[in-house]
Order: sequence, then structure tokens, then C-alpha cells
Amino acid sequence: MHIPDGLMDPAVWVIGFVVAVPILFVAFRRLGRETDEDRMPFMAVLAAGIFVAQMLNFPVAGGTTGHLIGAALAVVLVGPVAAMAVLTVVIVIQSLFFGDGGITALGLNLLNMAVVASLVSSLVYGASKRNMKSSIFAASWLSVFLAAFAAAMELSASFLISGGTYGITPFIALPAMLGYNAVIGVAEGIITVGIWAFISQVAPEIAKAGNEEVAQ
Amino acid sequence: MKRGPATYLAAIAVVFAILLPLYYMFSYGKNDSLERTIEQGNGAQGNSTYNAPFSYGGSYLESLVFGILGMVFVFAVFYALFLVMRKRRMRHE
Repeated sequence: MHIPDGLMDPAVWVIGFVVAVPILFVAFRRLGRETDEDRMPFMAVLAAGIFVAQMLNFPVAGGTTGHLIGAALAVVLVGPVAAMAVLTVVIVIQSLFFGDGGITALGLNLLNMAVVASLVSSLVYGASKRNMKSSIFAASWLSVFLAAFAAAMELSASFLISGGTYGITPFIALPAMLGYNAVIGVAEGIITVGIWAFISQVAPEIAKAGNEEVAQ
Repeated sequence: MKRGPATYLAAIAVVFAILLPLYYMFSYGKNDSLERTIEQGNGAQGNSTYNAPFSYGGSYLESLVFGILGMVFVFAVFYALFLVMRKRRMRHE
């Protein structure tokens, strides 16, 4: 789901930076002020893990592939503020060092995967924890689906603003992105619940601390 | 015995090395959801003005090396941020 350079209308990718950067600035400030220092090495390990997980695309329907975003996993393990910081570091390094996602589209990629996916995960997971596994699955699925919806809206806006020079017509962008990512979201949910269940078994204190972060 | 970050990074690298062949068997060279959408909608494929110094590689060994390199980069950058934050916090206290 990494948007490359040259796909979006300049007005749309500029808006991506304008919206994403202040939100992430606040997230990093809060992380620096409020986060328990003992948890920071774990967050760095989590960021490294999400980086390699995003490299491992898995097949979904019709010869298409998808990969873990990891926002829901980060939210349930370290809370929404740290999750945004974790995803930001991953996405910036993917773009700057590995060419995965464009430089001009960096603001939009941060907005979709670091901001939208983390906030959605946090809201869904925070709202219902009666059955932890179901909540985590729902948070994961919706984080992927709504991040894809945001990307589809950006593609559509680019198409409409530029008169078809950039972006994709909404009649294709919305059903295609939502259709593929509805399936990818199921895989994200299964993987996230699996990793969370494993960590809850081997290091319950990590899962408990993440739970407290979401509750705040 | 408390394990340090290096142990966890090594464990992640091992899991990555085990799962990477599955990626090459089932997903390598296939489009992801956005690429497939661009293909369906005949979207613009503009040139980037920026060339990244690395890629994810085109073989198991290359991907393994670049994946581990990226993993170490990400860990180092996040850890450096942590050290800067700690320094700022100590200055304020």
C-alpha cells in the first residue's frame, strides 16, 4: 500500500504532508515526555520487526499480494502514540533507503499507515475489550480497510483535481482498493492476533503495558 | 535471565529467514493491492526524482541481507531517537 512518486496530484500530496506532519510531531513530543524509558528498546525492536514483516508479501485473491501494516499490532503492544512513532520510522526508512513508497508521497503514506491505521486501531481496540482476540482482529481489519479507503480517496481526489492526469477514477479506485484490502485485512487480523497471543504467553507484562497505554 | 534487544533482533532475523522462501514461492513479482488498482485504472506511473540507495533485492540472499540491514537501520534510528529524548528529558529535570 505504499504510494509511489508521480501517481498523486501535487495538491493532494502536499495536503498529505500538511495533515500528517503536525499529528506525528505531537505524537513524538508526547512519546518523549510521557513514555516509560524502559519500554523504548522494545519499541525499537517492534519497529524493526514491522519493517521485515512489511517485506513479506502474502498472496490474496486473484494473483494480488498484500502485506502486514502492523499498526494494530503496535497499538495493542505499545499504545497509539508510540505506534504512530514506530510506523513513522519504518515508513521513512522504507522510502529514503529502499525506495518503497515515493518521497513526494511520503506524507500520504504516513497519513494512511501511521496516522489513520493507528488511530482506527486504537479507537476500535479501546472501545471493546470484552473478548481481546475479537477486539484485536476487528481493530486490525478496520485499520487496513480504512487506510485503504484513505488511499482510494486520495487516488480519486488526484484524478478529479487533475482532470485524469494523476490518480485513478473513483469508480475503479474505491471498489478495487476496498475489495483487495478487505481480504488483506483478514490476514492482518489473523497475524496480529497470533503474534499478540504468543507475546501474551511468553511476556504477559508487555501485553499488559500495551493495554494500559491504550486505556490512557 | 533478562534478554537484551540484540537477542530479539536475532530471533526476528531467524523468523524472517525462514519465511522469506515462502514470499519467493508465492508472492515475488506479483502486484500488491495498490499496484493492481493502478494497473486496472491505467494510473500515471511518473518517474521519481529520488533514487534510493538500496532495494529489497531480487533473490533470497539479497532480500535477506537488505531485510536485516533495514531492520538494523530501523532499530538504530528508533534507538537514537530514544537517546535524544532521554537527553532532553534529563535536561528538563
